[in-house]
Amino acid sequence: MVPLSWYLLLAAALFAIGLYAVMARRNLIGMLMGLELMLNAINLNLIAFWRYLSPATVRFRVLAIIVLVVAAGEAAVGLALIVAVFRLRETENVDELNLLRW
Amino acid sequence: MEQEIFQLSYLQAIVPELLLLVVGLLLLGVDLVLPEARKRELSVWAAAGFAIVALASPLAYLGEPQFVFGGMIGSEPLNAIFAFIFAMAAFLVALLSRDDERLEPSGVYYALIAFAVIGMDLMVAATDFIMLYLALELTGLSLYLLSAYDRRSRFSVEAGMKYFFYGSVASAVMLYGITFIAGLTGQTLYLGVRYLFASAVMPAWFGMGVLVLILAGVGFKVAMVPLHTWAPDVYEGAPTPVTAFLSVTSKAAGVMALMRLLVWIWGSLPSHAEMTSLIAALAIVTITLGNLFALRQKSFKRLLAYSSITQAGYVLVGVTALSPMGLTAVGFYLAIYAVTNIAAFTVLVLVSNRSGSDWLRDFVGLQQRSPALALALLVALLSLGGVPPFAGFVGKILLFAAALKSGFVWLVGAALANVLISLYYYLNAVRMAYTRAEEPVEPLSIPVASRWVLVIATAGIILGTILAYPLYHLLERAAMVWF
Amino acid sequence: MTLDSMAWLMLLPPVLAFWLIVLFFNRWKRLSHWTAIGAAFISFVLAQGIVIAGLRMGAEALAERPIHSLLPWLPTGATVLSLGVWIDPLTVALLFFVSITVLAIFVYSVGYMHGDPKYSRFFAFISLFAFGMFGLVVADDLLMLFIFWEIMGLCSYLLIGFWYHKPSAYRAAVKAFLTTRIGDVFMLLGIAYLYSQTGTLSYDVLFRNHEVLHRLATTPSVIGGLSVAALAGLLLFAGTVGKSAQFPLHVWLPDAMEGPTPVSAMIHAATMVSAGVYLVIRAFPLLSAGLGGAAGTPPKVAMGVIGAFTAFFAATIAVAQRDIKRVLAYSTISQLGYMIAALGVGAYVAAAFHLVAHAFFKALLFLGSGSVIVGMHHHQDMMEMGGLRKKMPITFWTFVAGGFALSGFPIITAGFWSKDEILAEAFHAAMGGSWLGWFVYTLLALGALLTAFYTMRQISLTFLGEPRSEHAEHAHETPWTMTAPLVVLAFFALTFGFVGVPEDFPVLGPLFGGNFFHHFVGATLMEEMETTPLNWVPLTISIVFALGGLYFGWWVYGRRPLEAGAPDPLERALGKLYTVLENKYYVDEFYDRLFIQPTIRLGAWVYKWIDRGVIDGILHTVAKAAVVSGQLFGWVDRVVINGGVDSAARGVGRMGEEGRRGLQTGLVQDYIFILAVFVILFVLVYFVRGAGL
Repeated sequence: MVPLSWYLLLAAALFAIGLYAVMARRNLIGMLMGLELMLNAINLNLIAFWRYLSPATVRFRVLAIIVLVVAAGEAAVGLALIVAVFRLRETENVDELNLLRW
Repeated sequence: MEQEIFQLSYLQAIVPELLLLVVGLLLLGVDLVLPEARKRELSVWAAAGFAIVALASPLAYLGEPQFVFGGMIGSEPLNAIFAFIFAMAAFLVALLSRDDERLEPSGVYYALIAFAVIGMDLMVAATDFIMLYLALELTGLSLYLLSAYDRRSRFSVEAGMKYFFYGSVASAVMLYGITFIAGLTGQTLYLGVRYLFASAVMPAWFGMGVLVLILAGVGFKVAMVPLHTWAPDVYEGAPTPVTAFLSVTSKAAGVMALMRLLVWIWGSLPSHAEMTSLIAALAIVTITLGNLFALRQKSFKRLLAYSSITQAGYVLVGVTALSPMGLTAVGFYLAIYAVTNIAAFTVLVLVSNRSGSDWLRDFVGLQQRSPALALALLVALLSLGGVPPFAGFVGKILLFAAALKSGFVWLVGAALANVLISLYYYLNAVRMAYTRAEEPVEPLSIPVASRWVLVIATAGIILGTILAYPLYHLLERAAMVWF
Repeated sequence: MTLDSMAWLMLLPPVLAFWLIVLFFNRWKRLSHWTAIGAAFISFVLAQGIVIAGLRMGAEALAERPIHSLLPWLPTGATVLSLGVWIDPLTVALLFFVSITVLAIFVYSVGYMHGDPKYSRFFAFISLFAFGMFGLVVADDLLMLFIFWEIMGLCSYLLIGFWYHKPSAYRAAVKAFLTTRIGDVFMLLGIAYLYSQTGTLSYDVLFRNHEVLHRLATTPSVIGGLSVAALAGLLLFAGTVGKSAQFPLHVWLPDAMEGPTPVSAMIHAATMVSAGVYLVIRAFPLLSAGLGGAAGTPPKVAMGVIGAFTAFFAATIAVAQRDIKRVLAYSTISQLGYMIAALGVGAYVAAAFHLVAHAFFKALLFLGSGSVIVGMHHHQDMMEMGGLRKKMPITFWTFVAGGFALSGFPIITAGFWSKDEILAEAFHAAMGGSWLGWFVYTLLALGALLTAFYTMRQISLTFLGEPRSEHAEHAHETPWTMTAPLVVLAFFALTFGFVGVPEDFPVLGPLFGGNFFHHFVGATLMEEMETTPLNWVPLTISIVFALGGLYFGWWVYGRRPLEAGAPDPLERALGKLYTVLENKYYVDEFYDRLFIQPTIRLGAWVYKWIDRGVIDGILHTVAKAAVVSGQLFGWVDRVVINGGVDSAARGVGRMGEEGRRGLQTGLVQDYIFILAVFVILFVLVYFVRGAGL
């Protein structure tokens, strides 16, 4: 069987890639996708832990489902905000959102 | 540790949250049927709703401290006290929102405030990592939308956008940390994790590493350096009443959640000295950086933003103590800070209604335009600056005394030096208000709702000093539950 | 009515008056001043009631069991910090002069502030001030003292900046506030330190419990070579240096004269600045606890050196001032130095005695100068005055009484007895072989000579000769509300000294009941104070210096009155030195160069450095590392987010470039980047350390 650490490394890699996307992508939609990727990496972590270390508990699966729901909520709020930004500024480039600084 | 998931009596422990849910849904419903012209009346309805919640909040304490809902949340006096503080803050902000001429609050706006308060109540009450995450997200999502509420303002929308991305990443990092705790201990209940930490089943470095991940989420709410970067932009861009609300309440909820985590779990680590020195170091950096950045601000709103970073640093000084006295002082300071900051922001709203901007120079001649408003500003800023006899002074004494008792003499010394620095910019703002304007000025009348906000907040600042003893006593009894 | 309830009640009227005036009466001028004066009068009656009751009880009984009553207020842990009142002989002495002078200010203000647009507000502020002063005097622990101390600091700030439309007034207010705050921070540290060592701040324990004092004096503190008592004492003394305007924090007081002339000036001369001296008198048992070098404990040496130096230093500056109020301001600094130097040589009672006597005659002089200023239509330059003797007779005679008291004119003035006691004690200490005694005595004696000289200079320039300007020509006597307080204060300035005539002084000693003040206030310490035997050497020197200084002043300025427009004769005699004195030794300029400018520059520099330097450096390094890793994991990037190495490298490079613009770039991705750096850095640190274990 595949050892637990492989799953954890994969999740860590996905998480890092997601974080990187949020930091480096200029497109707001791209940043949002990075965020979703981070949440999915977390779920992967969670499910791997559950399966390998404590398969008897139900808490992990509940948490995983909660994370999915929250991810959907975040996506909705994020998209709404992106639409609002686009209407006002006609841009999806995050670099141009720097009216507020210093 | 395992405990029943549901009993009918548990519902009493979440009475404030249930009421808030009802208030929020009612406001959404009323908003649909109310004609556009009468939308401003909603603030009164919302304020009344929040007042009822505040009055009902003592019910959340079931008479003796206990866990409810399978240990997800606790029913404790401290939770009831903070439910009261948050509801009061929402009450004041609802009234204030009515008088901000640049804001057109609808039912959705007040409903979002109600939902954010639910999240913050639960953040304070959470005794389980799942609940903590959920509460954090609920608070966050409501506040992101509130910050971006003024969709015609490029600043407001930008603030909401930044807040959203930063907050989401921060909470994801925290959740990532939680999966490690949960995965390796098989527990999500605070007390279960505490047991495994205390018995050294988990190595200390693991505890500290995970703490850093969790700090990302909670410290973001507190706006502690280096997780503060979002705060000035969001505070500046969001509609002013929203800024008043989130600079006060979500910060307080974050501090309480952090304090509970530290006292309940990380305080039991064998290497907990390392942890307290990390928090102490972050506290002093937070105070200093906030101060340094506030010094050069020309916008009063941004000045208050940096000032509230500094204030959070002072609270962290009390958190560092990790003692009943520290917790009491933290609770006391947060309550005082809430009314004080709301008073300062109220003055800002009324001034910028006329000037249309947030510049410090708009305050010139305020004393001639409205002596009462200038006096309120003076009281609020001196209290923030820790000048006796205002309540901010008492609060700082308590925080510093708690840290001294726990042996952090250097920390208190450095914090005191910062108090001196902060007086400079607070007094500078007061000076503006009391400088005579060159050209003739028109008098500034204070609308009824804001007048009440100012009266209640100023009374709080003064009563905080006079009633320090009974207040402290109440909080102390509540704080003892944790230890 | 019991004494403690009288003390509590005494505090109420002024603070009630403050709120009433601020909230309701600010439109009605008469109502405002009647409210304030009524409140001050009630407090006055209660305070004098306490004084009489205290005198009846007798010094020993009152010192043994001071009146003490507590209200719980601020709990810290297991102990409760209470609000309490504390009345012992020292408190009684303070209450006696504070209540009289406060009432005098209030009445006087009616005349002086007449016609001011912010008349009501003024009375509100001085009511709050009175509350602060009364509270400070009856406080029973250091925290309460500190709170009232700060309330007065706030009032002082508000009153100095009262005419805030004058930029100079506003600047002076901020300067006063910030300068005294430097002292206050040290003082607060001292209080916190005492609290952390003993768990209490009450006078009863800190200053009266011999075991505690002994323990504090023998425990070494965090700073090597100093005991806890010495370190705490030095920190408390720093508060005094700020509040009582001692060198090097004296710079705020002369500028404070920007406030409404005589009244706020009097706060800055007779009452509030006395609070600093009161603190060190109160804390004297702590300051003198334990052993030090030959000269005494470190705080005592500090007090002796700073006090004596300030006394002399400020007196030299006063000689060359032209503004009538500034002369008095420097004279105040100088006289406060006498009191502090007295404590330095252990002359506890002498310091308290001079404190009370000085309050009377300095209040008198300030109110007198205010009267002159009103008579002169708000001109303050003494060079433009002259000949006011005939125009303002009451002001003249009372001013002479005050001036002679300040100079220590023998026998018939209070200043003679109080100053002589200090000099006698210092001389006694010097005879005992203490270098500090010599230092203090020499400087104070020379200071006395200068004091007499500048006082006579002031009297001559202001009142004698012929008018030197239009305004002096048309000067007129002020209304009774202003002159009546002058007469009352003149009475005390002349006669108060008789309560403290040394026992062995020929004729007068037995006549006035043998140094009543010494026994009464001395009892506070609860140990037998030896009275210094009368020594004719310092006494003769004092008399000669006082009379000589006065005569010399008259000889230079009074004998041949100055012509209009003529330069100060001293200017020719002293040459360059005169300019130095006139510019107050350039201390302000020095501070500006040394502290203020560099602080401003440092602030800007730190801001830039943190913003652009440190963060930038970190960002650069991390960005480079990220480029490398970006290339390594480039293929993941291409597959997963369809971005490609190019965009990754560009993105990271951009982050590095933007990082240069500081911490608050306004770009949310930079903010998230800082979060990531923080998290990764600390997780790595703990991981590495954990793995190393």
